[in-house]
Amino acid sequence: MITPTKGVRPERSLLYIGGQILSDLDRPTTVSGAWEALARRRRLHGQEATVTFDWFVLALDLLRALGTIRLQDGLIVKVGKS
Amino acid sequence: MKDRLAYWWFRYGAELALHAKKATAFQDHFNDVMEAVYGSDFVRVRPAGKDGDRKCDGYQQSTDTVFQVYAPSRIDLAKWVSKIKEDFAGAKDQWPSMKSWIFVHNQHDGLPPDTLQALLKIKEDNPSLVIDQWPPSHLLGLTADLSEEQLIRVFGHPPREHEMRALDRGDIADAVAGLALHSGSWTPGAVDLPVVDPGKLDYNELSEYPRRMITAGIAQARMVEGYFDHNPDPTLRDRVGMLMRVEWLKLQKQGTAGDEAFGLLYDRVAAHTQGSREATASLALLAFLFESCDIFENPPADWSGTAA
Repeated sequence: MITPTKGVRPERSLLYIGGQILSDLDRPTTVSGAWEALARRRRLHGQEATVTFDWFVLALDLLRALGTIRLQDGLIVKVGKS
Repeated sequence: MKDRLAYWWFRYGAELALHAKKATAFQDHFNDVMEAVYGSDFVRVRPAGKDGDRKCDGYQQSTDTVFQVYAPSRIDLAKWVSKIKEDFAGAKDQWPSMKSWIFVHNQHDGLPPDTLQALLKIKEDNPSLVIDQWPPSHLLGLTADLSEEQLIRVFGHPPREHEMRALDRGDIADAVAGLALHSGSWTPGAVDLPVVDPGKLDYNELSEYPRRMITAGIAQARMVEGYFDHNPDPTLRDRVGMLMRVEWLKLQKQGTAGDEAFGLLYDRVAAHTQGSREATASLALLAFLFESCDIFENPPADWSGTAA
């Protein structure tokens, strides 16, 4: 589920979604802000496959585990871009 | 029958039953067909207590016919011949009203000569009785004349062409739910499976009716894919695929392939179906899994076989 599998297409894999979240993380944002930005981006690219909020949170967890994001004053911040 | 898919499904079921069912399963199938064809004229006889079935597996009242069914999974010729003699003698003794005695068997390639000789000897010794044998093709002929309602009683609800056109994701959700995924094992690392190949139907030795059914079901493959894409759980597709892959591997290990494997996999998906719409959704899901190669095998690259 982190990477694409036979049944999990790339745009539903956590790594891909994490990449999409990072792409929109130019400035510190709230969890809700990141969620809305992701939804907007996916709509724009015609990616209709469902991504639930739970799945989005798992993608955030992955980014945090990889050390690419951290929480600062309740906001999500890209590491090295604070 | 107007619906082609239902027709194929019934023909496939009728042929498969005669090949796959052995012993009491074959006898049950024989009884189901006879009841469907002859109604209350045919009486199913079940063994009772120490007297067993008194050498009668079924009785047709209008013709006073005793049916003896013999469909072992392995043939022991000497045992078979002595069984014919014993069964007939027992039937003659215990059913004084008997006018015909019919030996029903599951030998598709014909009877061994010793068996036929034993039957002819019985015929010669009992000129007042009608003695006959029914090969599997006779039962197949009987099912060919059944009405759709009778066929449903024997084989269950068929998938239907017009339902296939009308399926939606809700139907697929029901079919997936029927798999009871919590009972299946799934390892996320074991999902690197091959892709589908056009020669797959040939390579897996699927005969005419399963081929037609898979082809009909694949028409809805994109819709099934859409169901998985829109399911909140992105791992569902892999879990379904792996569950059925495990079932397929189990069958392979047992040496079960071709039509019989297709039938058992269909039964696994359609275990809880109660109508044609659900049966159709089960077929669409199975065809999707066939196309995506979760079940059955792709032919090797250098394979150039022809149709089964």
